[in-house]
Amino acid sequence: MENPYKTLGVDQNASDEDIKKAYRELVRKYHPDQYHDNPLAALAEERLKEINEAYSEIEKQRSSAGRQYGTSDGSGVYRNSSYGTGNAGGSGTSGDSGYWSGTSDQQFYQKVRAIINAGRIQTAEGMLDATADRSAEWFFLRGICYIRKGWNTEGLNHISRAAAMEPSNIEYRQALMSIQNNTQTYTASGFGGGAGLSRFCETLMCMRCLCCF
Amino acid sequence: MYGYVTPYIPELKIKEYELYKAYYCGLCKSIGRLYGQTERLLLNYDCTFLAILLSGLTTDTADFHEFRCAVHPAKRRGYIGENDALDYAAAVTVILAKEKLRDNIADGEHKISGMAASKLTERAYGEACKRYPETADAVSAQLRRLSRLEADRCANIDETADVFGEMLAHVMTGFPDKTGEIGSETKEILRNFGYNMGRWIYIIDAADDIEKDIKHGSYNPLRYSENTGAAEYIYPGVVLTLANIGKAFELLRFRHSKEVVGNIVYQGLARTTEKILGRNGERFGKSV
Repeated sequence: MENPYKTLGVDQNASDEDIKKAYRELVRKYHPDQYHDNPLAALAEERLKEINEAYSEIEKQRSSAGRQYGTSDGSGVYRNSSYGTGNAGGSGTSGDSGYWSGTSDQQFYQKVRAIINAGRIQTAEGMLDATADRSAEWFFLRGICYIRKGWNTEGLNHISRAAAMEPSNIEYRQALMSIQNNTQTYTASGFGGGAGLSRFCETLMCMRCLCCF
Repeated sequence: MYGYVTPYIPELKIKEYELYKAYYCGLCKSIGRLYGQTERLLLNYDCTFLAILLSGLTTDTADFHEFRCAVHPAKRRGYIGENDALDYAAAVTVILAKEKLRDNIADGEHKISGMAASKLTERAYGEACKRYPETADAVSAQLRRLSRLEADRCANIDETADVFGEMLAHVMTGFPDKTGEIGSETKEILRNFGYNMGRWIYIIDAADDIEKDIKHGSYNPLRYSENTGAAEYIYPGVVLTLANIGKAFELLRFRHSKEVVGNIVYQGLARTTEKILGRNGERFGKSV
């Protein structure tokens, strides 16, 4: 393993408090929520694992050196299990069967979701484009495919359309919210003062207004 | 190429600003050394960014030297000494400039200056292709695809932006990794980074040119969309693309120059977006 202090980007002599702070900052940065529907999700998860290992290692070193630091079992460590399965970035489509329409298309969409979760976006796109159905779920899944590819304008249009067609569907609204959350790290540092962010929120709010009708 | 990828200087530390300028001068020198003095006129910010990014990932330190520039002789300046990343960025400068000129000629734009400049870079382009044939081929292939989409009057900005995305993805991963510093993981990140940056450049360029293109009757994907005129139409997608660039950046492991690249990724691209789309996307909405 690489020097754990280097992994966390802190000095060897940093205080426990500073190390914890740096660690939390990194966990926030590489958290799976940040890489939702991003093709690099698996790499971010890998990075998070390294950070957790480094933090555990420092805790171990410091406690065995007789220094008081939290608990020796590393309970302060951010656990992978707390964000569910290793389904990298796929939770936007992991879907709860409760939201499904219950028609004969159900099996078809279940299959499409599995293929999206496996990262085979092109295959999923082919299947969706070949079917005649244009239900809210179709627009939602087509939109998720676009977002995964980085075709964001189409992606947002499709997902908000799905949300407008089925205003009571929580999954579609949550997907829009999580996309918005994904831009926050950037907009907070990029658009000095977050003006760009407010616009993004506004637009998504408009999309949600559509849901009311 | 287009000059949209720039740092936001007020937020740079002085040493970072000096480093940026040194890369700029280093690239200029590399172009001169490898492709000829006239080709130095092709020097641009986008390729400077490529040089910093690839140097920061593959070399141990930024190799800083001092010199007196013939164009600015009053003061001594810093430059980055020869390295593989600068050589590659120099070739990319020539390849992209050549393709852009070819495109201008096809468009009937700047007919004479385009032709003259085209002759000028012919030899340099041939040399760049010889050095990095895969990159040159990938750029040509993508631009041929763009010509087809333009001929079809494609109104889907995501589809046309995909061409630039693929092009920059190839440019960023086409760097021959002699030192073995770029593993498969970094390559995957660079691919995604380049893809999203290419998309961003294309969309920003389309928005920047829309008034001119309408006036001249030139192709612009934003002209044909039923949603033209609504800032809401492209703005959230652009912000999301910027966020994707930021996320790829955070995964890259730099050996140096990370601060400068970070400034460009977070501050520079955001400022350019604001300048072209308006602070909240409103300027673009009004202009159409």
